Amino acid sequence: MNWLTRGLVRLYPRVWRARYEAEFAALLEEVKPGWGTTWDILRGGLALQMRTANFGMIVAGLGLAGLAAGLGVWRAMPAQFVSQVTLQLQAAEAGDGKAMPERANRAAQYLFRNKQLSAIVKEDNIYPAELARKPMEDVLAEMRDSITIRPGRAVALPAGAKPFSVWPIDVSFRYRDPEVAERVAQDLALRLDFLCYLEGETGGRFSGSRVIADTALSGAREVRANIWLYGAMGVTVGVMAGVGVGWWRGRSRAQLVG
Amino acid sequence: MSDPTLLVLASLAGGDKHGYAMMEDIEQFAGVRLGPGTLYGAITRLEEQKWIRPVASEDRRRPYRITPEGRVHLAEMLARMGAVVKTGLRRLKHA
Repeated sequence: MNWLTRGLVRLYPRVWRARYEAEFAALLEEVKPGWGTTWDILRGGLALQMRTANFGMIVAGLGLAGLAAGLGVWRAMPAQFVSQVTLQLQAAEAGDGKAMPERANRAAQYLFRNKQLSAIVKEDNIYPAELARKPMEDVLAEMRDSITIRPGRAVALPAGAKPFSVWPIDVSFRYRDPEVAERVAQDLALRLDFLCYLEGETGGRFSGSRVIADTALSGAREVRANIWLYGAMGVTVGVMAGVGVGWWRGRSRAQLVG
Repeated sequence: MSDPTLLVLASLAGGDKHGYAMMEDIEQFAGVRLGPGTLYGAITRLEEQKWIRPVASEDRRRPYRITPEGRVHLAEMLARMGAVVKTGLRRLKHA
């Protein structure tokens, strides 16, 4: 009997071990070890625990099993990387600075259109596996969820810029490959910069303003899904399963007694 | 046919056996290799129902014996199964 088998026998109920452990150990010494045998010993122990455990123990046990499963899923999830670029849009005159958020917002909406995003997907050759099994529209919807555009925090002003005229914007992109995440984030920032410029050019009112892009690359950092969320989901599912199993077992026993 | 309790009872109907001997016997007559956890789960249930009982032994490998109640239960189960088999075969012939 190896250490794994010995450990698994400890999972059997104490009352059961007091009665059967010696002869069970003698049997295990004769049985050919293997994964099938190991799984059978584990399954047998769990089944016996379920028979002897009360309602609270079943709920707690399956809750813990759910927690372990949730953490296992969290750990098995592929890593994701986020790269962020900060743009500094600068208006040429004081009056233009106030309109800068609105201009950036319109430009961002344009950037999120299918035409712009599908061009990035093709040029940067991203989402190849997804494109093989899903239509482009679904892949673009996934891409939109991976892009964040929001007002950035104040950074050092370009030489000669006036405080009222600078509008920092953070553009970030999340992807499974850090280099691709960086490249696409840069691409998105440059496109947003150009679209803001076009907004100024075509908006009439902003024709005299300039948009300056200062791409402050922060590199790609690894991000993981929320471990608490996965743990909580696992516990919830486990507890619900425990309540179901406990209720079903109680009902079966009541029917037997009746 | 793969119910472990039925297989254990059928094996013990042929004489007292310890766990490993039951595994070998069952594999021979039913073509099913019971794992140790499954076998002892079945032995536990059968002993609780008083359909089998342990036999005193000097060895750590404790043999088991089918009880008269166990024989009755086995006979009932086999009769029910026999009826199902008979019906199935008859219907196959007429199909």
